[in-house]
Amino acid sequence: MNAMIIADSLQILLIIIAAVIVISKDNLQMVVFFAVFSLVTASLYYFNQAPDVALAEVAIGSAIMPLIFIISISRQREFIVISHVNDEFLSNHTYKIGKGYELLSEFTRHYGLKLKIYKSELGSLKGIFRSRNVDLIVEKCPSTHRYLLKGKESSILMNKLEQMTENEPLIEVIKIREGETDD
Amino acid sequence: MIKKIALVLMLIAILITFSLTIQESKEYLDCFSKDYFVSKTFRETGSKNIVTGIYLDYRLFDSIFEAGILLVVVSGIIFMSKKDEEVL
Amino acid sequence: MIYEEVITLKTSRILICISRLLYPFMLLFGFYIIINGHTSPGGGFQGGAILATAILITYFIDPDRITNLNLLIKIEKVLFILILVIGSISFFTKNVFFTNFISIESSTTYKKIFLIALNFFIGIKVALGLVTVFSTFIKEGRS
Repeated sequence: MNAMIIADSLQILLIIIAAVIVISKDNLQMVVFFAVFSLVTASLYYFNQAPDVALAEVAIGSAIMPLIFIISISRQREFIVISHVNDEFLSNHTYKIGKGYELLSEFTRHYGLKLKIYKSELGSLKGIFRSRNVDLIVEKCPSTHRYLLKGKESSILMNKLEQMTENEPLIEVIKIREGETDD
Repeated sequence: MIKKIALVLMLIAILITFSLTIQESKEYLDCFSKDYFVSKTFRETGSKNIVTGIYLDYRLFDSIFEAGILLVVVSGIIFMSKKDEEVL
Repeated sequence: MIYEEVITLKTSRILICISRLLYPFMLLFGFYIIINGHTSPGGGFQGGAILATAILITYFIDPDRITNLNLLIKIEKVLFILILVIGSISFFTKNVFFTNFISIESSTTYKKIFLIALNFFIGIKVALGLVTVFSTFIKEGRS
């Protein structure tokens, strides 16, 4: 009877942790809750007389997967920008440094990332092979002549970029929810 | 909106399937194969742990190709981590 | 912010000391679970995952430890062929594929040899596969 109460409370805890994982926005917090989820699952397996599965769950779910996630988060070294602009906003020649290039290089130096800018026309097919991991898209609005910086809403870097560009009248930061755009 | 409705429908379907499975599994809990494995595994395979006896002797076919799946996954990850210029 | 936290976590001296202390015990525990897979809970897959975790911890001590990934996956392929061969020996002794090659009437002490050998090879193979997966992940961001 006592073990039944423990198992039931563990199941309720599991549902709460799963909801927290889905809701939370912070990447590191999400990884830690993922490890906690695996530990609770392993103890549930043990309560239901399956110690073999519990061993595998502890080793893989709460040690290897979170470490792979943390390594992949901490190994981000490049900030990839796709430019659809044709004027000197993003030019990096020595005699004429564009306003946007100056801002973006200062922003990436703050995080220790490497800035990479790819220029592409709208609708061209080159580079479509691996274009899913783009961090920022720069466009020019044809009616108001303002520069639009489009990035993902879930990325933490976008909040800092929005702070930095508050005083610039010509630049507007747009956060796109994941799944709405394809490149 | 369509996505959310589809998600809720999927969750309801999963709930119904799980509850049906739990109800059905209670009827067949004590069936023939369980008695067979409990009584004869140690004599036939020499393993005190019945799980090991099953996946290394009675069902070795499954576990060998499970190891093969891991090999395929590792080679797929290595292939995807190469740069575009090295692959094409 | 999050990125700075991760970078300081990787260079922390306390974590390096604890990893150095824990590493041999984790290796020992993994091999114990693999070798005793036929008497106690555990087996090849679980022990291999624990071995892979032990090798993963050495990345905190020295990040440039494993460089030759091709050798690892070559050993893994050879081990997979070895497991297939061990499983197929029973075709010559019993005329059935993928069972124990020692006959059913013999005592349980000899039947254990098959289980221990297969558990050992499966454990090493799983450990090598997981090590290759996360070494690929570590190399990916370094280019």
